[in-house]
Amino acid sequence: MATRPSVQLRRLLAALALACLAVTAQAATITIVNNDGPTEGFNDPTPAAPVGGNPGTTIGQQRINVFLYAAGIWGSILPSDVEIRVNAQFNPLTCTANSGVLGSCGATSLFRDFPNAPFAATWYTKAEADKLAGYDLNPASADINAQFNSNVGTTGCLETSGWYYGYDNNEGTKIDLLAVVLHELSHGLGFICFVNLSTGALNGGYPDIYSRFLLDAVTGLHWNEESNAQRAASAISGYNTLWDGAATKFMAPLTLNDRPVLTLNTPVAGSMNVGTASFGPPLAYPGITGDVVLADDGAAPTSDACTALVNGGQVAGRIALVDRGTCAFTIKVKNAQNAGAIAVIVADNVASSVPSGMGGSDPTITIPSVRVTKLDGDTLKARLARGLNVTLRLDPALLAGADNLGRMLMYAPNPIETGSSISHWDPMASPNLSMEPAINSDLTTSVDLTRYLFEDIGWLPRTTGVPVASPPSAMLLRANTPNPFAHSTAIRFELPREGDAELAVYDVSGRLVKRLVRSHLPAGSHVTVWDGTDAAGQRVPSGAYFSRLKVGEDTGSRCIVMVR
Amino acid sequence: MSRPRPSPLVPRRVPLASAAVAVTGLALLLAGVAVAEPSKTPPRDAVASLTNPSATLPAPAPLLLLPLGTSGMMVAIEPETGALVMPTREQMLRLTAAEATGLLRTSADLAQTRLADGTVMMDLQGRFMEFEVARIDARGRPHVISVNDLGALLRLFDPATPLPAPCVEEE
Repeated sequence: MATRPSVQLRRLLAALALACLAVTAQAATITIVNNDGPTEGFNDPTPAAPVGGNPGTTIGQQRINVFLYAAGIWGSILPSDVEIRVNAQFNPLTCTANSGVLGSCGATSLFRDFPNAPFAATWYTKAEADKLAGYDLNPASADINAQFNSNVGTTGCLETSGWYYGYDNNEGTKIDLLAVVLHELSHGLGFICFVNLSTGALNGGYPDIYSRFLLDAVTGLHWNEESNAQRAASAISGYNTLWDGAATKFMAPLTLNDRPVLTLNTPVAGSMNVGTASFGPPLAYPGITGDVVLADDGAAPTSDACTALVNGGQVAGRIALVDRGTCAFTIKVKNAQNAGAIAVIVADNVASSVPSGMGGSDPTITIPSVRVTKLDGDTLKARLARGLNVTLRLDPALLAGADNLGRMLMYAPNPIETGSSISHWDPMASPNLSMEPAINSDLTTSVDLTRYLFEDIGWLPRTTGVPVASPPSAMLLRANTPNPFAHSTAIRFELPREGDAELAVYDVSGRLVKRLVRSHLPAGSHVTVWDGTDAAGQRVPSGAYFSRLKVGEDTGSRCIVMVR
Repeated sequence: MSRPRPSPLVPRRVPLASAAVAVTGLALLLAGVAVAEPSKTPPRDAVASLTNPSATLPAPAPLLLLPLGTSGMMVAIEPETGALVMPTREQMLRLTAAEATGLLRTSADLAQTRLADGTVMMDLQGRFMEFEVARIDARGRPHVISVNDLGALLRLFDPATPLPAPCVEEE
């Protein structure tokens, strides 16, 4: 069976690949145009203590710093000879004590049929069109408009929270402005669909470049090939709208975790997607198998497990099925655990096409738990009388957030839910991604797979996961670049045919320093990155090292020199 | 200055297409300088302005609220009937003009301008913005959700609406 690198290695590879490309790309200049007046927004003179790496000493300075930080991240990744201008301002926006508009962002204009356009009759956002054309197609206009709420955290506006201006993702109960700005800039740069999702109508009668990569798994057609009715149907097709881009597909296994699933063993074989819990042990291999019993706590509604179970004799040694509602997930799972359950399935009480995760914390919980949609929960309950046996496990052949062929799922809920459909990844993705419809608190400053989506739509030259036109006749490990290096170095290799490949770094005594790749790879060119750390993430000393590539019986090695 | 004031008792009904165009125009008119980046100057080398006759009017948002003037008055359009009505108190979110414009997903009335080099440009006039909305849950934790239509935005402001599926909740 094909093997893939461990979750940790996959995440590391993704981060490293991003870091490398950020170094090697010709950086774009992203200019934040401060549209605020004196003493407001970016110019707010209110004193503030430096926070989370943000050295600003006024609210205004800290806001500017966050925008510049986000612009620096994208600017280091996206190559463009044309300045990208972001008109930005802070204003009072619609807000109440508990809900509020944080901000909005988008492209100022679209362009098609410009010089060097990769696709004719196709809309591109201004920033990307300028980059591809090589000059500013409309110097009179900025590329992106961004507006953020200046009242967040004040009386009457999300007053128990507020903006967090640090760079370190330590926002607590505040709102991480950096994560929001990174997300919003991604939309303005091109992570956005311009189709009217209600009618399926193309924008002005023409597809946009993003829509060309949307694949309707029901029809097998890309959105630019479909009718309005087909596009409108695809927009609410659940897991049937996919991202069909080579770079993103290549990087997905290096980014995503294995998919958690509920496998039905008896009375009917099948599989369900599940949401996972932030508490208790995670699902593992080969998983946990057991008969399923509906929990009963003796108090209506009896199956919510909000109090001690009264059917402990039945639950003990089995998997408890409980309903969502009334109390916290941790309380339900703890009650089932106390009754002797070996695992818990929480059935949602609200219709949804997406099995969300479960938040909460309780270090005393020692059994795994998962969440299924209301529809799947009803299916499980209907089969209880026939002897329901299931396995809760990670499926190493599937990715959390991709279809069975490894293509990223786009957010296409049915019925339409709050959250911007199609212009986001499906929230089933794990780990959480920066362009999911909810900005989760565990996000870092990584732009994860968004960088590869941008490669797919033409922002960057195709370098990821694209086989060479003619595969080499033999395995080839190329010299790393740069060499010597100080921070990170890219290691490229080519495979003549599909196969299991392992690439690792050794020191001069032959000791394994770090394994960079251990995966089943397609024929063609590949690249990975070493950042000069060992398997524990510690920086290794300056000196000579060796990269070693092994594919089947073939091996090759190269010398790497690190100088700090 | 007096302003038109729709009667809450006798909603004025207009054809849907006309209403959509009127509301769009109203939004842009009322947006005024609040629209983040109006096209202040003609595009370089603009030689012609095209409109797409094949474009269809999009379905409006579930209930489109627009500011009427600067006093905070709001007017609403019902998508099912095309009626201009006064929004209910719950629906009376005082969106700024730029917010209302940014939520629009129609381009039927946006010009496609051909430049001298053959490039065609569409100034989005502040539309097609992606919004981020925060909602504080019962435990005081903020959830940040992306929305791009008015209906979704309104639901997030309704405390009775459960947080959407993308959010990881604790119960």
